[in-house]
Amino acid sequence: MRFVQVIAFFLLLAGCLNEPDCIITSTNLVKINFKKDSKTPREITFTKINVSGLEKDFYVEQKATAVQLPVDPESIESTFTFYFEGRTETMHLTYVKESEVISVNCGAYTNYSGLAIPETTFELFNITNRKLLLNATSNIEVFIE
Amino acid sequence: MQQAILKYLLSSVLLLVTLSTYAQEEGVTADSLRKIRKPTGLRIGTDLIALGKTIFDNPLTGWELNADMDFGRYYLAVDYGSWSRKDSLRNGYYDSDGRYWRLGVDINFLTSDPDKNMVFIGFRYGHSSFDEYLTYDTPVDDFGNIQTDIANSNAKAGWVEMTTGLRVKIWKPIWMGYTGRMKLFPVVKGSDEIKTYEIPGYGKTSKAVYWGFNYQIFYMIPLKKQK
Repeated sequence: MRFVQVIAFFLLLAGCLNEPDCIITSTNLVKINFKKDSKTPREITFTKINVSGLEKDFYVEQKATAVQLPVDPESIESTFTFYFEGRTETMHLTYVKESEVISVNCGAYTNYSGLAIPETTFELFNITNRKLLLNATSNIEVFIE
Repeated sequence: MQQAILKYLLSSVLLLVTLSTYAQEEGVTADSLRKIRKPTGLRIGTDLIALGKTIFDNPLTGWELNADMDFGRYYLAVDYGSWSRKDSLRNGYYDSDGRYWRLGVDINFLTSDPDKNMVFIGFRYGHSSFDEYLTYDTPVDDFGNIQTDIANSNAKAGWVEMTTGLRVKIWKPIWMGYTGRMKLFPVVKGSDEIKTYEIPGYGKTSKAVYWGFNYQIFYMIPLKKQK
């Protein structure tokens, strides 16, 4: 019976020693896929894309079927303005930020979730993932003929 | 995660087996304490580990008072404590401060021991009121270094515990013992802008099951004369 007690004690200790993994999958990048229909990607030649709060232009004179754009980490809303094929389209996004401490050694970071599009000039779109994650393949799908 | 749950379950089962076997080895057949009876004493104590952490573990300071009262083999148990952490993170600083209490019942397996020594299992409901503050820097592409300052004031949390342990009479009114705690199902009500890192009295919220351990010294105040 003493043997069982010793084993139980060490199992208890093992439970105490688990530390969380230092893997951060959160990002402030929104992944937008452009499509003709649910299966066919739509390649777009961008003139540029503007992100509210930034002077910098993104995807200047570039062709792409998908873009990654940053949301403002100091706000809970951002607006993207897309210039392409003689058109100008806007997309207004809102999101929820949550701060989290992983551990003393890993530090703290910000989670972005609750992605919503309260306003946009795009006619057809679909939110596929409301969390912003490094390993997400898509957050938003926009359908363009 | 599944491995961890399996490990916790296995250790819990082994502990229960150990306890029940220990009780059998003591030859517990008498039922002198099995019924609910009028209390004979109030035991008041403190957690020596909490005091040790306060002295030797700089980020953590705290104290805990423990009390229990016997009703036959059943003990009404109450704990009250303070817990404060001030910790430097890799990229910032975390500060929490709060008070907590626990209320529950312990069941003594040594029902015929004249000294009322205890080998027990029990349960608790725990509640905590606390404030936490977090500040940190994160480099964000194109936006530069972002400093975030978040406070979570007047947060509340609740959880449940399964307990097990020993109480041994050392000398006249002095008792010593330990309490092992398996803490489960933490629920926090507070700011949506911060995921609570640590609940005073519970521990880190990243763990679905959190183990706690108290090494306690008690003073017994008799409520009626022992025969």
